[in-house]
Amino acid sequence: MPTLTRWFLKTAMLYFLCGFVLGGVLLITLGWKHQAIFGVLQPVYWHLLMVGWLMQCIFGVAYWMFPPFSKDQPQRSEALGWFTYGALNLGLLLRAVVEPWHSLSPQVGVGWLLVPSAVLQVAAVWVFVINTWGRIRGRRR
Amino acid sequence: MCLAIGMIPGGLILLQKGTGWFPVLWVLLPAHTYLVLIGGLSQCTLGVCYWIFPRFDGGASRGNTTLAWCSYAMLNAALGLVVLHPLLQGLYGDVAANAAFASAGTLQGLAALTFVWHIWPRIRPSATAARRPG
Repeated sequence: MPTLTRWFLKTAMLYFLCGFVLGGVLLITLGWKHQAIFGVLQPVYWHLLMVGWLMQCIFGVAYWMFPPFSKDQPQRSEALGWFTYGALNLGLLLRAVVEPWHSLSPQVGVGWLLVPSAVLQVAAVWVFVINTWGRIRGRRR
Repeated sequence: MCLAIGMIPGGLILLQKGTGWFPVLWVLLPAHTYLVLIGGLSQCTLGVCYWIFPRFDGGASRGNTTLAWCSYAMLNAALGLVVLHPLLQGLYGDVAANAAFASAGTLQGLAALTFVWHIWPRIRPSATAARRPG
């Protein structure tokens, strides 16, 4: 298991834990759903699970298990892999903090922090796809 | 199975959106989202992690499998409570539905905790080269 895969998977497991605990807390407080914080944390919960847990787990396993790109570069570009990891997590963490903050007290300055979050997450996924594309093929003979 | 079952309330809700019939079907929304995303996609990912992550003792042991089984049981018990909440609400009222959600929330958190406890030591360099399905 490559080092980058271990970082992807351990980070994904932490998001899984945080996401499920947050989801559990939201379920427990469902009876008080008129509270603003409940609606505000729902998108954070789903994104922690979908992006932080599932997407990151899939990225880590794909980086590890997909057919090697070449003998010298089995994972193609390791730098692009690390870029994906960094950008995805920075973007997601920024979103997890700024989105509920902006929803509870909308301010122009705070809202603009969602722009780098969006750019980082989109860039992370595109870079992952570009770096992985050449490895999606049949077994080399 | 959860994925397949979870698509049925999703389809019914979409049908309601299009036709306006039976607005009461929206009560199935938590069941739909939980069955598809937690019971289907998350559980599939957890199963694959349990299967392919490096093992111990030269491939003979997956470590503490009791923890993984506990996680499986708690996750599915939580799912069952969320899916059955409309029935509990109908039979016993809002208090029972809220109690079901509260129990589901606690079980869900504990399921995550036990699975991470099981899998964490297995996220490490493989003892032998990984098999590469191709």
